[in-house]
Amino acid sequence: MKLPYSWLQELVPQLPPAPDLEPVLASMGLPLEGIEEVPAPAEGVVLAAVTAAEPLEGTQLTRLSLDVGPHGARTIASGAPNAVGLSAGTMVALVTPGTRLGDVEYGVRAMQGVESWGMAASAKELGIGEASAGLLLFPAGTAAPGTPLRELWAADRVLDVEVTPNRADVLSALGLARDLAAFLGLALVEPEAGPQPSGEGEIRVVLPPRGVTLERDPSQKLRFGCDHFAARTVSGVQNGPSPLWMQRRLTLAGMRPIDLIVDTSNYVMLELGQPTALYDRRDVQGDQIIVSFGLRQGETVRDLLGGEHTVGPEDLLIRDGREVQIPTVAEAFATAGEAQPGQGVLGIAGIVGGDHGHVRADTEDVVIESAHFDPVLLRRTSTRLGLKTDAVYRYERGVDPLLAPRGANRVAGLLAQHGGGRPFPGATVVGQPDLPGPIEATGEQIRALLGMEVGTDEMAALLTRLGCGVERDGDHLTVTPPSWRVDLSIWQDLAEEVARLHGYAHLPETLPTLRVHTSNLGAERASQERATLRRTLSGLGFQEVVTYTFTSDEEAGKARSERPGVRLRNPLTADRTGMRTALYPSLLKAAQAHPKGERALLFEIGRIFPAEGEQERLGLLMRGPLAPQTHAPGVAGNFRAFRGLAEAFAASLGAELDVRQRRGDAVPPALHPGIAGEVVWNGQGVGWLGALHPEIAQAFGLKGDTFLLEAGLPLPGRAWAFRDPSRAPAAWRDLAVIAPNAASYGDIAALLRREAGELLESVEPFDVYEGAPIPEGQRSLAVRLVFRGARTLTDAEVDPVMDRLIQAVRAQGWSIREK
Amino acid sequence: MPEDNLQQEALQAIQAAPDLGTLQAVKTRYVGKSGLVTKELGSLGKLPPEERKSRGAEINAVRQAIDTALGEREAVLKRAALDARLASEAIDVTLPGLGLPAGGLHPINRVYDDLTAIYERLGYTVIEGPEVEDEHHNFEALNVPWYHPARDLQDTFWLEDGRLLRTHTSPMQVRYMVDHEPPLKIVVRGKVYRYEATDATHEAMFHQLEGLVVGDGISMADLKGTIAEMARGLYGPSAKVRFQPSYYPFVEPGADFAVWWDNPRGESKWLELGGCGMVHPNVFKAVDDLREAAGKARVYEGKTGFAFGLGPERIAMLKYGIPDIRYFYANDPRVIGQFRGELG
Repeated sequence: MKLPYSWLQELVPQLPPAPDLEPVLASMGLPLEGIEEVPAPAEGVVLAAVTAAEPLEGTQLTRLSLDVGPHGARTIASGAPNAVGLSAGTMVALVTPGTRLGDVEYGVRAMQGVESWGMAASAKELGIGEASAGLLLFPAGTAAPGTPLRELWAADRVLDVEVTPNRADVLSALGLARDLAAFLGLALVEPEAGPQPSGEGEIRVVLPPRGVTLERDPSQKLRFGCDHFAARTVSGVQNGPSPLWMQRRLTLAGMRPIDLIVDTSNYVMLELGQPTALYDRRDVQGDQIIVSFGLRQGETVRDLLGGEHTVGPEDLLIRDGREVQIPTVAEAFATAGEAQPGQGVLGIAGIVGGDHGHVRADTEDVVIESAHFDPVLLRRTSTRLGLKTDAVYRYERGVDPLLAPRGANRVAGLLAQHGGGRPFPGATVVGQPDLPGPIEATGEQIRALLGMEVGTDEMAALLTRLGCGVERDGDHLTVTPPSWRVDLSIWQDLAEEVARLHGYAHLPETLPTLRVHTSNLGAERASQERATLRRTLSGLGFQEVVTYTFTSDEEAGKARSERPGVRLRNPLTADRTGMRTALYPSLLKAAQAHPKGERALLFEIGRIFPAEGEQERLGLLMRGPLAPQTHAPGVAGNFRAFRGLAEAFAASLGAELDVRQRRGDAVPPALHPGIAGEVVWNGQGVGWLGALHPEIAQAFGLKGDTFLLEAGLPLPGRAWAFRDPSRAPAAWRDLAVIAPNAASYGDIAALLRREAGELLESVEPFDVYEGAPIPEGQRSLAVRLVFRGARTLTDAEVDPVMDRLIQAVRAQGWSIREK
Repeated sequence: MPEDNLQQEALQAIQAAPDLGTLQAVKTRYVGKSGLVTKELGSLGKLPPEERKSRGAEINAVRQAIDTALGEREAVLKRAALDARLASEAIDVTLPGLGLPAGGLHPINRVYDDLTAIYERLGYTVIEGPEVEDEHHNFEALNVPWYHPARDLQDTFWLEDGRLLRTHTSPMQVRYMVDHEPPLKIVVRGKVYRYEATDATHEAMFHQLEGLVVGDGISMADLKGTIAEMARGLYGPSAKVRFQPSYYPFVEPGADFAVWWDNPRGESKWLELGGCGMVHPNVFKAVDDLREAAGKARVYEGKTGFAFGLGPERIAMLKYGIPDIRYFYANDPRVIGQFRGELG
């Protein structure tokens, strides 16, 4: 929220200088996003009234004819988009010839045949504002033409305060000043109150019944619609430009001055935090305002800016007094929803005024609406309609429910002061807002929660400063928050206020002491296992990557991974429409970031989101040589090297890694059909590894071989604890098995292990041979079998095992290669 | 004296032997089993006993002289052979070695590891949790009802099935409390998502570390002390903590915390690292409601606790001067390969 410093200082006269406010506001929980220095405009910048605005044929320029008072009638050419079609009387800020702005001196120039006398400037060009939407414009009659702008437009500073959603009370000059005064212990000067009403007003107001329950509201709370409404009338207002000080404040707060009536409404919102809606009394038929829910489904409302909105039985509307049958919400829902323009709708309550009834340049008699609406209802409607106005921004956060009459009076006062209007003595005030009851707390409770020593008497004093009603009985406090602090409802809220005003800086630093709860032990295992995996892989030469979990159908298609089942309803970009179903496409994209031909050895631990549910996974990728060739040969990065790394990884973790050949339909779609296997970790299938399918490699622009492994986490632990090593010597035998190429080493080794039984300690291949005299399509696989027992093994013990193995091999239809 | 000749001849042959093989032949010729000197010794038996002794001594002296010379020559030749071998084995050690891969951890996870190491030392349990969440755990149970303006602060990726990508790690507060009884001390790490266009400081996906402590008599001073411990763990003993009031719907009171960092490489400053506060009673109530629905006892009412959250990206960016949050997920090896060893 932006507010000029000068405004705050008017309300808190002893306010410290602007630069000193930054740490103060931060410690109040209202940090500054920035302080904007707004200098006075340069000498030589004057107000000029537009007498005509004509487009210059064949250019983007507009010729403005100007009345510059003592400087006479002048013309300029302007390229500003908002110069087009300016109405006569509108005033611009004219930089007169001979004036310097920064490094530029302005003069008289001929532009497209127009004698351009100086320049009409934007706020940014003048160095008095950031907005650069075009020319700085003022309503007609703002000041006499030729008036130097700096006479009316002094230097100031704009504070841009970051307001969290709970602090609706500081969304106004009064609110911020009030909190500053309380925090600093300074006096607050309340803004003028306006004429106090006596007696009934001229406008009758009908409120909707209380206690409506909305459809689709999971909380099923009763909604009140509108619980406080003040209506007041002012007649004989001469609409025109608002006073320059008001325009200045609105401009500095980021709003655009329009005319006195509109500006007054905006000004009161900025000053008090009370949004108001002002109507032309001619349109308020029957001098009556009816606040009601939409009459039926599909009622259309045109707003004052021309936008059309479809509203229904759960949207709160402001209507004039023409006779309509007001149904209950349930009846309205039952009404067939054919879109029809609503009759006599003055606006969508608290959000935007309607096309019907809004004040205009020629409005003289004004009806002021100043009300309190249900924040939930309004937020719901504004979110659905996509209408975020300054008014609803305040309503949905919480406007002071008692503020409505004061807002109406203040508007009436300003219209009287600056527009010569005559406020009607009486005002209509209906409704009775429910105010939250007092909060019970004890000093001890608050001290214990904060861990800070603050006396109960000090607590009472601090809360009183905030405007709370405080009754103290020993250590017990009964606290009634002020109506503007709608965020205070439980004693913890009071604890925060006490800490805030006492100073968060005084919180001591201690550490929690807890009893042990055994049910919470051991949960750290998973995290530690993950850390071990990551460090082990890093130690083996793998670089960890962290990748996006988003994917798209297109990318999944390219990678041949499962189409995303977890899909975004509101994707940001077309390449991020769902969540990944596998890790390897992410690794392929990470590999793309590596220079072509160079080694990439990557791993990631991350989540995937297949239709059956979220899983944590480990992925490995290898590309390029394991060690590059330099002056001497390197080490090729082939499948054997990749598998070797996977084996070393498993061995480092004390796990047994085995790979089962995958063929045909069992090959994961990502993989080369001839280089694909299942990863078996401590005896359980956990994933797959192999070479990337060359077509996928091409689709990802990854030339050369890429090897991948993907496995689910956590990896199963090993089943054994400790094996006491045998001191007996080993006996070994070599065996060469001739089998068709389709029989994998894994098949043969598994058969030998199974048949050999306990004595077999290890099987290692030492030769794989194809060619004569081995028949075509077959190969000889020579393995060394190491046997070991508790005692030295004799031939008499080993030979029968070997006979069994040979028999088993032959039973498969394979043969033994004789020496 | 034939022995003198024999000795002279042998000694000459020994000195002349050019290598160990030749020397071995010389040794065999003179002192081997059937060597010339050995034969002389064997012939002693034929001599009369009175001559035998003196003659024996003479021949032994010759043999000893030859053995000594053999030993010396052998040592010389062995040394020469070793020198020759060593000379032939010399290589240029300035040539680079086999280019084996060197791995590393991702900077985000390095920061996480630093943080979790601190919290593990303080006795916290480190957990993770699902990234796909439901609205109840992500918002409602955390005191952010459907109509609450605080929802505007966390633009959400909604899923077609009505669930969402978690916007913070805080739903794990709820899940953990539903499954466990107090007292408890946890930190949660993991990815979170915001419906936000990406630029140098905003990402649609980023990481959080969330802490939660619940027990009897946990205070806001405990929270501040804990953050201060973390600050000193991250930035050294001179680090300080600053708390300022702030608002998060699931805590009350709430605060933002900043850490004073004595930067060894640049400007020392306050780093605004995250938000924290005392667990809101509505969160405890929502947890107890979920527990009750699951047939568990209501155990959180009347407890107090604190929670905090921070972003490892921000810590890494501030600590290492990384200019753009998108660097973390581009996985350029020149970027992520830098974060190895002690980074200070």
